[in-house]
Amino acid sequence: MRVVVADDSALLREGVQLILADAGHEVVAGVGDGTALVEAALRERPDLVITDVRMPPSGADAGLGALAEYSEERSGGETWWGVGLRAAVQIREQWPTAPILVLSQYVVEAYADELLAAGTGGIGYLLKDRVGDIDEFLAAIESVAGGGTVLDPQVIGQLMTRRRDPLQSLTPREREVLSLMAQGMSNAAIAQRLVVTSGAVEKHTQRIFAKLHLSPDDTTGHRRVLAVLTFLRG
Amino acid sequence: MTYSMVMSDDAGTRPGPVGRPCGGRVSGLVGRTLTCSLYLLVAWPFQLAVFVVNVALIATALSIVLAPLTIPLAIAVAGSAAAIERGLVDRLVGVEAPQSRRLLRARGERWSSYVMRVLRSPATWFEVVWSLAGWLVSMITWIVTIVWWSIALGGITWPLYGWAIHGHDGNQDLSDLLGMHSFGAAVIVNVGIGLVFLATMPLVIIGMARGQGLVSAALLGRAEQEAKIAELTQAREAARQAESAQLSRLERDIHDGPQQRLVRLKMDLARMERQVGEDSHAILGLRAAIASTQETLDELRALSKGIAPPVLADRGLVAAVREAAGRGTIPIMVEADLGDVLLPPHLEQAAYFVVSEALTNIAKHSGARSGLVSVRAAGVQLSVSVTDDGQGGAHPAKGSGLVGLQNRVRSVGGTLTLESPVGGPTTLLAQFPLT
Repeated sequence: MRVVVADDSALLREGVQLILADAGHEVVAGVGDGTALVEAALRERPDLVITDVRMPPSGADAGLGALAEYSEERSGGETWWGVGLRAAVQIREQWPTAPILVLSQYVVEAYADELLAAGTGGIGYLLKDRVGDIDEFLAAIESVAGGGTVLDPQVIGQLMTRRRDPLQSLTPREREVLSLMAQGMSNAAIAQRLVVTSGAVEKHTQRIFAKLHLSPDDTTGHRRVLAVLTFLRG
Repeated sequence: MTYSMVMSDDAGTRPGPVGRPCGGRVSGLVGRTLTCSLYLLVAWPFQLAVFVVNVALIATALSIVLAPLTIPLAIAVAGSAAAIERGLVDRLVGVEAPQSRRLLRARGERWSSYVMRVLRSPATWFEVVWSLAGWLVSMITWIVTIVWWSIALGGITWPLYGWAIHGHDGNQDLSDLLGMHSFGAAVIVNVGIGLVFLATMPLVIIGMARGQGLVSAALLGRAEQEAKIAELTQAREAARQAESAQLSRLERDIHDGPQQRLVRLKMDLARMERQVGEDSHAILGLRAAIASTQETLDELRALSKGIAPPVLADRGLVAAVREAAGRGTIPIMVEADLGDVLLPPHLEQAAYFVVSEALTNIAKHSGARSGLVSVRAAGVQLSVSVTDDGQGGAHPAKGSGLVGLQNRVRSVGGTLTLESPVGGPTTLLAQFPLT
């Protein structure tokens, strides 16, 4: 797989690059700001774009960021947030099916919304910690590159605080399954995680869909994830 | 966020020693009595004159047409009289009542804003009230002073003139009334009374002067109080902002430094684990190292949240609350409605800690199966409440961190209430004023 990696911290960018290289993927470009990211992505058209959500908008700001050590706004403050997202949107404008995985130091629920609204094509939102769980990380990038949706469990946890009544009609087990579905896991993966048979998982998902009034047409694959996420986002 | 510090500038005259009343100029009992008497004798005529002038002015103000002229005039008269009174009280009685410069026009200050400031300050109206009512107190003390002096002096010097009036034309002396008719007895009685009054004079005179001085100080010394309050409020505001900024900076430093390195470290260790192979004896050690690194990361994150949660600083209260609610194992719903209100950072932090602490307690003690967090800003108040359907019975004394939370809430001017009947449900409510 050809990958473009973007993160303003050279330390973390390098770490991700090494993990990808170990697994046989090729990192065609490594950049540190939003402008460079858009340019590299559109130029290289990789199989996957991995980007930090928080970066300086452009190379000039990155330099300024270093100088800003002596000022209040150390890492660029408010303006650096969402730069990765905006870059993703920009990339999607010209390349609608670009597969993009967004990494973040901590969960920001609003970004899940924006990402999911940013169009078709593979999309992912993970905590940076998650990269260190290498097996899961590699599975996630395969999924996103293949057009799937992957969301960090913590993001799902936050989304689930939004919808009150319907969720309360679910049993704790069903809520767990719902959460795993929303993260983008397949039935087989869920079965493995919860240490049950996939038949049991099937039954759970059917019951969940019934209780939440979701269409039975959306019970598998990518459409399922979207259906669940659409529901959770209200 | 910037703030400006107003340098306070107290009145140039600092009062004299307060220790011994009336001891400003002439010390010694006699001198002090005389000084106090001087004050008391001067005070009433002066205050009466002020009263007459101001009553006339204010009565004239009933005619709406003249009010814009006479009211300011009355205020000016009261102000000047108050200044004189303060001077008298300061120099003669030795009681502090300095006027801070707030009521004086600052250099270059526009007249209109100066007038508005004067009108809005309660100190101004206290001066007016004093100008109208002060004479009552001073009248009483004046009369008592006159009486005391008269009786004291008159009594002591009685032998000098008493012989002329004693027994003449059916004059009846005090001693006659007591049944003693001789001249000697009259002398003794009158001089005795005079001596008694003389002996008690310092006490009475100094006491009254001090009392009246304190009354004046109470009514006229308010400008300084107001200035002090304003100063303290600004200082507190500045302290809060400084603390808030410092905590944010500290969290940033943690995030940009150690935290990043740990994330990278975990990545490197994880890669090593894969390379080393399942049956190598090193793999156990590596796995332990990875676990340890993740724990350190979690601890650092928790520390960051304890210092200044990064999501709070970057995305605001609602986002941070949602994150905290979503982190737990039981479902917590979040209802948030801030409208357009922009919250100051120290308020956001306090509100966030209420939620975070409450959620921790719910997870640890309550046995609840669901919870609700509500954040609302309406008008002049921010309300944050956390409810759970657990077993209740929570009490600040049980070491659930509620006392510290209460202090934190109070330090930003808020109130914290806890309702936790045994059997539940429990609700923790914090309300903060929005200035």
